Amino acid sequence: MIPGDAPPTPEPNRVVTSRGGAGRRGSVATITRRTAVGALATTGLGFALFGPRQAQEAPAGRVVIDYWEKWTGQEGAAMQAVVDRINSLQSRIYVRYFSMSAIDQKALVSMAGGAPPDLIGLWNFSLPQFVEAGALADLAVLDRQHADAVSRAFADEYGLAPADSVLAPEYYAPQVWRLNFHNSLIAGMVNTCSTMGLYYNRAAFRDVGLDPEDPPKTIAELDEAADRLTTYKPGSSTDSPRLDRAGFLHREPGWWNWLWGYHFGGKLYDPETNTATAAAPENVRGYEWLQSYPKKYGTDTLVSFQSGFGGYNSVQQALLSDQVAMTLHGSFLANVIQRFKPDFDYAAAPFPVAAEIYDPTQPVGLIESDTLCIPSAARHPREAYEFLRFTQRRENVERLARLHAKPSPLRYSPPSFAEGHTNKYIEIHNRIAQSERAFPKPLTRVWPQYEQEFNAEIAKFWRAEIPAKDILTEIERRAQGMLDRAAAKRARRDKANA
Amino acid sequence: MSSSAAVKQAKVPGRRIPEWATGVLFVSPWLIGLLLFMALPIGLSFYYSLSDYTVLEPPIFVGTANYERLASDPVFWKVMRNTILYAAISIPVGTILALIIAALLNTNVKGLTFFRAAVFLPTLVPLVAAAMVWMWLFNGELGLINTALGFIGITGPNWLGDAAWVMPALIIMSLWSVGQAVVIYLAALQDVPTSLYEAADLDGMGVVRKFLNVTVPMISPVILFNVIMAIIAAWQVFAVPYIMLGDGVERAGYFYTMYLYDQAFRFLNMGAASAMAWVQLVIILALTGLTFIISKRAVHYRA
Repeated sequence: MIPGDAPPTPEPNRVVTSRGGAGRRGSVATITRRTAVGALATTGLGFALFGPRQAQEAPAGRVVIDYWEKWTGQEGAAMQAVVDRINSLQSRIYVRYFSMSAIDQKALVSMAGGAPPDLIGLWNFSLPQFVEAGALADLAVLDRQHADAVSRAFADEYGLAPADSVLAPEYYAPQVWRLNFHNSLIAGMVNTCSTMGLYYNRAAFRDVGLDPEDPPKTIAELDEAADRLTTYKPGSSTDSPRLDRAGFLHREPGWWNWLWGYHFGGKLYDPETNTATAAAPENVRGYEWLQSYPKKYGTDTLVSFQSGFGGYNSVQQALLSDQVAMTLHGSFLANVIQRFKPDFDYAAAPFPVAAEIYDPTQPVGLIESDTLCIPSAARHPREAYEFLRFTQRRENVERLARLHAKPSPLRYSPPSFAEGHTNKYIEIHNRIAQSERAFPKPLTRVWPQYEQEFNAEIAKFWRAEIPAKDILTEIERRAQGMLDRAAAKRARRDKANA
Repeated sequence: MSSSAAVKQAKVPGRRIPEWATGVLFVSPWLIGLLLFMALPIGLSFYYSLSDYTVLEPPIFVGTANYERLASDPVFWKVMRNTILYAAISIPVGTILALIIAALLNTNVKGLTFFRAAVFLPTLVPLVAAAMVWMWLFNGELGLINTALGFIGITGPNWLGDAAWVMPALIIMSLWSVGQAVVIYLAALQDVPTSLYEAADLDGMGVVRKFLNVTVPMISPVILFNVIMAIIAAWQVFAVPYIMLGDGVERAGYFYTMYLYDQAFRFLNMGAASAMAWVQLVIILALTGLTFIISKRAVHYRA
């Protein structure tokens, strides 16, 4: 352009755009406002017609309840089947099932934002945090309000017998019933429950002359079996031993770093006095036992060996790949075995305990539950409660448990429950679920912090340079601080609310 | 009347919208976004830092209790120490390495495009995938790093299983994404006038002296920018150690932002988390300010 020339004046009602592209640089094109508005409208219309939409369209005229659950894949499909069943049995409510990860965090955000789903699947050990904040509805209250109407609906609309679906203690295994209580409030109902036991490689037992029909029952027997089952790689020397197979490893799969004292009769928390009891003598024994393994086999040897293990949900996992002969695991392991190595010759038993507390009628084992809850701010609490009651019907509970390879959470399970169950040792897990000595994660609001102490310090235990008692005393001191602070905060909040 | 004025009149049949209002209207999406999604949460987070706030219940004002609690929290000091150590080593090492690689890529060698792409490519790999790959590289039993060390007669450590080796492993891994800084340095290097190198040649300067006395001063503003970015990134390191280590291994790989996240979303102590966020902001601002002050003499801006 020659200096002094005026730039071309745009026509009224036109937008000037520069066109890019090689060879056309500097050329100017115009589009009319009508074209621009038309393009925008077309985009909007296209978005409305073909854009993303809700995954599941609900039939018209039904009350839609949203249900968030943590399960995906095989476990998610099992729950979807229960949802499909209620959706097909009646025409008044429609359940939309949403599967998601990190459900605790999503529950937190949705509840804080005042827009939670109608139902949410949490873990029983998450309940205290939500209950103390008043974020979950008391099922006892909903039961009083709606139990009769729901029972009638089951009979009249669903064509089902109203019995067998009452939220009552005699219906559930005792420990399972207790899992869902906090602050005298029924915060949720069990969807599935898991118990943990000893899983072992029967072929490995046979190889070293152990009887696979007679698994270890006490810690001493476990140690003896572990010694015999531990093998070293060819060429391994005393100076730098290289394991081929470990008989037993406390840190495989490494999900429960806090529980070893329980198998010696200990516990970590006294709810009556709100006291941390990590350094109790039974717990000290449990962790001294844990430390005996790195002392015996060498910390570096064990850590190095364990770093070669594959992930839990794979054929490379330690038990399936014969890198570990015995491990603490949940009944759901059967699904992994079924999927990746169906011919794997394994068995399960209650996890061994110290000889003085051994009682075959009351096995000791961790129990956890997936818990179905109704948020306080749910939009359709009555319909959510109806679905929750539907899930608690025996046929649904047991079907879900079977598909998840888990024990029945109910007090009584018929012989048909075990028949064809994915886990052929499900009776072991049923026995643990029924046992008075089944133990949950401590039900306190500060448990995530308390547990973190064990996760952080497990490497220190494993180095075995510091006595277990000293580490536990420090954990107990810190945990007590957490409990005291939480209690003080609660008192302050209660005072403010009063 | 000029033609543009005629256009204006033709376009506005009724009351004319003041020019300032039109301006505000145009920037209003950004302005509303800034107020709603930045200014308000920042203000609220400061209030929460002075409150007992669980997210699920209304906040209760507690004054400076959260800050006092942090001061006496050993985990807070542990994550602070870890983060400072990580920043203190990874930033200078990363900066020097990026500069050296950029200088090498600024030369005229065969296959330059390939090398430039190869250096930048790792920054495109998602952090989660990179973390998973590095977990296997650092594997004490089967990892490539220990296997390579084995060839020269060194028994490699349990990188991610031994508290003493966790930090070195994370620092080594941080160098994986040095490509982003390299690209910026490379652009700056290409902007250094060749006349300065010619003058340096006439003065008889060697390669190293030219690099230190010509290149570095000329690209010093870019170095300053990258260092400040690295300081901020180091104080926000989260995804990789969270995936690789979590809170395990004696918290050797537990960083400031990880603890902040846990306080907020695992322990439901949003008040403490907000206090941590404000402490983090003050630290980053202080470090950035300090970097500016220190760099006053070292950074040369071309007129």
